[in-house]
Amino acid sequence: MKKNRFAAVLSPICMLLFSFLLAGLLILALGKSPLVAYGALFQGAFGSSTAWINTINKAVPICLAAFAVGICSKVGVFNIGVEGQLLFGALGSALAGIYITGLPAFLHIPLCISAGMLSGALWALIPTVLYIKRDANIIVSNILFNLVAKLVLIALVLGPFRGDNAMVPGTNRIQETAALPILVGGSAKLSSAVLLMLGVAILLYIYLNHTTNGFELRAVGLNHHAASYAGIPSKKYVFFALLAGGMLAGMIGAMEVQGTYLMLYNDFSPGYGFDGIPIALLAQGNPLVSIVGGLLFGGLRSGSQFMQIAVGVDKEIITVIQGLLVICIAAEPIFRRGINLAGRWLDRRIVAWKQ
Amino acid sequence: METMMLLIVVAIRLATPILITATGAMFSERSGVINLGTEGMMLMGSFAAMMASLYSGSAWVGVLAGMTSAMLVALLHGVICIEFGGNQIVSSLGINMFLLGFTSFVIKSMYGTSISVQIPSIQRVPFLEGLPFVGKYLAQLPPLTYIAFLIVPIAYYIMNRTPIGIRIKAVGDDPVTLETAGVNPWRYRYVCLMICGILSGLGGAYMSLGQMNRFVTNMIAGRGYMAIVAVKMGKWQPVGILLTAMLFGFSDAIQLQLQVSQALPIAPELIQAIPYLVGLIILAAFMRSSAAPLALGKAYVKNKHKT
Amino acid sequence: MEYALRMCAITKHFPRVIANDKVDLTLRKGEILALVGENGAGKSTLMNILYGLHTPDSGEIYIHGKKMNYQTTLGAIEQGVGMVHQHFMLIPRLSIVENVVLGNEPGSALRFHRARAKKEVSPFLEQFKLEVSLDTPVQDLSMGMQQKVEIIKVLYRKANILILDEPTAVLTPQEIDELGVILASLKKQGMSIIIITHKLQEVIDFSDRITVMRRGVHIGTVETAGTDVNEIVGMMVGRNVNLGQYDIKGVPDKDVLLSVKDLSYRAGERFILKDINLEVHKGEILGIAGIDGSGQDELTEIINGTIKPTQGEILFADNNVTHRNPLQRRRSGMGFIPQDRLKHGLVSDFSIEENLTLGFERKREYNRKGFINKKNRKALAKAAIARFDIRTTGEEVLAGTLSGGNQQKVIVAREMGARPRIIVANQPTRGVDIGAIAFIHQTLIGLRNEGGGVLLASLELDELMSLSDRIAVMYKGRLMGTLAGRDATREKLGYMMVGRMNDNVHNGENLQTEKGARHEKE
Repeated sequence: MKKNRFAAVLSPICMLLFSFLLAGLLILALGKSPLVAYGALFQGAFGSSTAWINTINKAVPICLAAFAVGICSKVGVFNIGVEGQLLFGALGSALAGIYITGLPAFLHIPLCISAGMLSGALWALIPTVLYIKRDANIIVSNILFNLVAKLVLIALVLGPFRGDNAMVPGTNRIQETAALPILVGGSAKLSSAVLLMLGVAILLYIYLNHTTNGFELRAVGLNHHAASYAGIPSKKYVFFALLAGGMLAGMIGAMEVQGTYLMLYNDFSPGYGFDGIPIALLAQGNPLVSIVGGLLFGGLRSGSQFMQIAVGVDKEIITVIQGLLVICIAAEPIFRRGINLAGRWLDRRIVAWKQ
Repeated sequence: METMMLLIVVAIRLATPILITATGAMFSERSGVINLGTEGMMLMGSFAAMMASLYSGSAWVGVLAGMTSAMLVALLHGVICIEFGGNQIVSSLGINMFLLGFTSFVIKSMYGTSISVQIPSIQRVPFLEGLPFVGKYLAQLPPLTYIAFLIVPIAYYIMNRTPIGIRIKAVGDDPVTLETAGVNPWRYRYVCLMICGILSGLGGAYMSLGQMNRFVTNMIAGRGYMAIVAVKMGKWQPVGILLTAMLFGFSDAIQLQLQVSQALPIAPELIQAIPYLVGLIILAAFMRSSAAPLALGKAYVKNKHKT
Repeated sequence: MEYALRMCAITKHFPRVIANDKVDLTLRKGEILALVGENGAGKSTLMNILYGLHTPDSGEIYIHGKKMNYQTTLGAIEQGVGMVHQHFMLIPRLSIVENVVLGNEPGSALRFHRARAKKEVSPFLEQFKLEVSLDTPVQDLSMGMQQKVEIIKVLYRKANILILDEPTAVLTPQEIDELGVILASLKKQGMSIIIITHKLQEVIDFSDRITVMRRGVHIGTVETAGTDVNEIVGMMVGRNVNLGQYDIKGVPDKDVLLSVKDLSYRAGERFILKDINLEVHKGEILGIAGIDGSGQDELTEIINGTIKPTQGEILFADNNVTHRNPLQRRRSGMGFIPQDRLKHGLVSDFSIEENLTLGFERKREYNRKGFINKKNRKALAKAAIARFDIRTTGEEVLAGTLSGGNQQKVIVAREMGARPRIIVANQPTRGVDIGAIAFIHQTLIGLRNEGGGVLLASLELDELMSLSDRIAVMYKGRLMGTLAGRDATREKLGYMMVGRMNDNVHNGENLQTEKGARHEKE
């Protein structure tokens, strides 16, 4: 029992090291030093208080994405549509932030966040309904919806909602009253979005593990036949979880618009929706564990910009590392076997040494 | 007439990569292995084809390199999922992420931008020009298109007229049954997955060598996923897949035509979204099918079944 | 004595269990050997080793005196070993001929010689009196016919050692007799046959010798002529268990507890259930007999509320519950034991504790203002584990890691824990060890004796005949009639199970056949 738990912690660490190692070889192959690159990456991510603030700001959307993927995985659905949903969430939040005026901040902020969450859920609605009613493959439909979302957002942001400054590929700034308060000022500003994210994580954790509703939701995900047989309305829970995923994704958009950019660019998301996938898979949908992963990936994102400038290694290497990590997660049986073999070898060595 | 013919030519050109890849994905899915990695394998194919074509000076060497590299990616997916029973969806999506990052990283590191230099390509078949009436149209189709249309009847023959086809159907429905009949089911899954890789690589090579004459990051832009939709709508049959791929080709051609002619007062991005929406509608309308392989996505790991 | 097969000291470990521990087995040429034992005794593992599906850790196999060392099914097939599995190894969408030749297709790799395949297979069809086209997809055949295709598959590969794994589980009594005739004729042709089974009556009927296994060990081999059922049961379980003799007290009440009225269920054009009328009285066990797939699963699921009937209604304690969901039905005093415990009964990745509340999680003892009452839940789980004798190391153990019998006890504990007035059980003892079977039977009888009702659908006629006050028989979604438990015999039930009406059974010869089959065409 204890040994299993040990392996459960060890194998994600092995996966991470392995992904970094392979990506390092790629850096090496292209004529740069991986050690220098990773050094710069680490320094850019965790090397100073400014770096920490940037990392936390990046971790917020990534953690939320992991929650959005995680709650869907709890009902047994792979939610790859977060990227599209967060784009629409940003749109909803930005429109409410720009065009609604004259509200006090304590009303305007939650209103815009709600608008973002609602838009994210609306964008999730069609693939969800098609999945529940027509059994349409939700992975493929969400991928197609991501592509469509990206195109539609460009069309809208560069079209009807384009801002007055022709130099900027985005909308006007949102009202001051819609902007999230800043916790720590200075050259890097820590947005209060992080508090909202932590609040969501705790609520989600309590919901999943301590409420009767959460119990029923998990039962649906683990065996929807048995859940239905026991009288739990399976489809309702799947529907609810997928829309909740859309809302969490929409919240990412809102946080970025109201906390980071204070306007909407057409390509503000470097792929936060996909960042959430490996984290949610590794954390098995547990929101508190996801935060650890979110910090790590946030560090990668913020450190990679520093790395690109400082040592000239393109920040796309982050996608390489993430992709490798997802492959490693799929290859979990191989890692498990490897760890077991290594453990047995070590046991034999220890026995031999004692003799 | 002229516009019509041109539209058809464009549609066939645009349908080609999806057709090739979907035919490959049909083998993979028929054998019971989900491979959403067609997207990444196409990307790998087009990237390797560009590289090899650039350094060897021959586009055909590029085609070969595209096929080989994508096959190796398929092999990786196979080792994870066929050998060790890893999650097929997660593995193939990871492959897509990795290859998107890998190709972009290399291109940006080499050229500093997301577009490669121009490379030797194969976009036309000049000797067909001599044919009366249709010659000038046929010559505008890349040679790989002709190969694609040759692959379809071959795939049909394999699936319906050979023991291999019977066994592929068997392994996709129930690998245990095939094993008890004395046939190695894993070998068939591997072979099918490799075929999928090779053809996805070919489809990808077509993008950088037949459609364009350079590599651009993320140039597959969802075509690999559209190929999977085509397999499902085509009911896992080569002819059905051909028809679906043509439908996608036409919707893409019309979309291009609309953008060029500016006939509709909408943003070009919205018009670009048309093929994806067509795919989505098809997905919703044709999803439920008894033609689906029964063991699709279910891992079958050696010596672990039944206790 | 000439042996077709000798297996010596076969040992096979699986993670956490020894499936076979130095097992010996001999098969004489031209005999039928029955291999019996409880679930998990290691019979299937032993046969899978013989068939090359598993590689033994140690031990030797001799076929016709020659030592074998094949490690694949192909190797076994080449040595003349053929196996008919319990779950048929047939691809539903492929035709009969394709299924038979699969793996040995005539022609080359790049050309399937269909005509030759048909010519080679058709003599077998005549021998087995299968009057269908070779191009028929297997999915259109009845279970009995599919089993014949399976045997043909083995013969086509020129096997001389035939293994049959639970061959009668899906057959009607009449089809079982037919199988007996087929096996006798194969024996005459010189085939050596091993039948894996846990149905003891068949063992006595079919076999020449009987080998008994228990917990992975070979217990003994006896000549069938010199033994009886009691001796074999004793060998199988290692102690005396009285099955079939229960303390059934009193007679059922007049009051109706559950009634099903004019119930029909249609999937697409086809009627799965048609005009079902049933009543379960207080203090009664109503058995439902029928071959697998006669509509029992759908009937019990409709009573549960997971699927909605096309027509008709369900009354429980004088309330119309047709439109109530499973949760409301449970609350009003119904309990359910589903046919497939891992699919419908349990969440394998939930702990025993969690599974014990599944479907009852909103009851007051488990739920406090929307939050789980974990303290109470744990205490109640501990009590249930003790009361229902669930063998486990703790209430936090995942249900999926328990043995079949203990999983079933978790379900019984959960449903009985809610003090139901009726239990609707579908094959509650399938794949469960004998100890747990006895326990489950006692529980059902206990409910009946206290004035509750039980609706018990089962494929095991012995179980139905020993427990039921009345037995209703289903055939192709119709009710063929109801017999009083004491009047029921295997023969009467068997006739009704293949679609012959109750009264025809009494009329004897010249049975008017398949009255019930007509609705298929409707």
